[in-house]
Amino acid sequence: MERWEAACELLGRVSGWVLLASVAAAAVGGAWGRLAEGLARAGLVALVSVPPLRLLALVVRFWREDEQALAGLAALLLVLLGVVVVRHLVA
Amino acid sequence: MQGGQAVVVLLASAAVGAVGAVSGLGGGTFLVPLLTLGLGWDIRTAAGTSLLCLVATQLGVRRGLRGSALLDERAGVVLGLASLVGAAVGAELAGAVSRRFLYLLFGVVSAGAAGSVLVQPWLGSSFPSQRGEPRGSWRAGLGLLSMAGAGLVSGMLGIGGGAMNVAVMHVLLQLPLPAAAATSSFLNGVKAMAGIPAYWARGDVPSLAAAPAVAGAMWGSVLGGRLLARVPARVVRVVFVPLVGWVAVQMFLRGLGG
Repeated sequence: MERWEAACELLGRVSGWVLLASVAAAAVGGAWGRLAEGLARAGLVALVSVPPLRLLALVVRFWREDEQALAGLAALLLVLLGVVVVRHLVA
Repeated sequence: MQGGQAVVVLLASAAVGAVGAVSGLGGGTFLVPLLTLGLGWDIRTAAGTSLLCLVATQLGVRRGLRGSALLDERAGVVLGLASLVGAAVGAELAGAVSRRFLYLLFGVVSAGAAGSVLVQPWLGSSFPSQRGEPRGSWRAGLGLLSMAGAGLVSGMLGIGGGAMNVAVMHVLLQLPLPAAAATSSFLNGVKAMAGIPAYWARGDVPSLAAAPAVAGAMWGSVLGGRLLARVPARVVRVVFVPLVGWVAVQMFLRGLGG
């Protein structure tokens, strides 16, 4: 679990740096503008993937601690988030 | 967005992220007005960007909370379900209601946030502060409903609604203030995740425009977190209550003026 948390934290930090790089590329302008757009998208996607990954870690932790009801609720939360995302991706 | 503008948004968002962390009100209360009133963004774009910033600033808060016993993950999971539903509906509603309504609602919510900072000292001394207080079923039901309402407002306006979260958890569910504040940051992540897809799908969050705001808020909140311990609560009240009050009035006037 500690490793998972550390990985999530690292992903969050990397997304922050990627977003900063996109700002720098946008500031340079010209052909760098396209790169900036790509970096911005990649950074934002990395950023929003952190909370669901943490939620997944919570499900596993509750399950291992023999708290099935809470693990179920956390899993339901994760599934609902997935439904919201997929619904808008499909629409 | 031009490169120069991106740098301006980055620096302004960093300042707002720091102010939000120091005041305890979160970034959205200041970021949305900055982007709309200050930089002329559409309020829906500002709200969607602010939700992304909420995820970014929550990362910094989580870093600080790791290993502490403050975060009540059990309460967070249960209340998270209500918040998620509210935020998802709120984000959909934001695309359906008029901009004028969003401005007016923001004005009302900001005024409430300013009031909550004012009454914080009395809240802290008048309510139970021990973990494990009995929680009546009516309290739990009302708490869930309130969290759904807070989620709805968050989804519509792109704010974390920390003041609302903490008030509900502390007053209704009788969580100690530090635990309520820590759990509120967990809920903010859930609410933001539930609201972002609707804004993204409507095209309200252009990646290149949002990137500097999100990066700025992320680094600003880290800086604000470090400053937090050095700024006395009294100073926060004296400086930020008038500031948030001014924001409330400006947003309200924008709503009235169309």
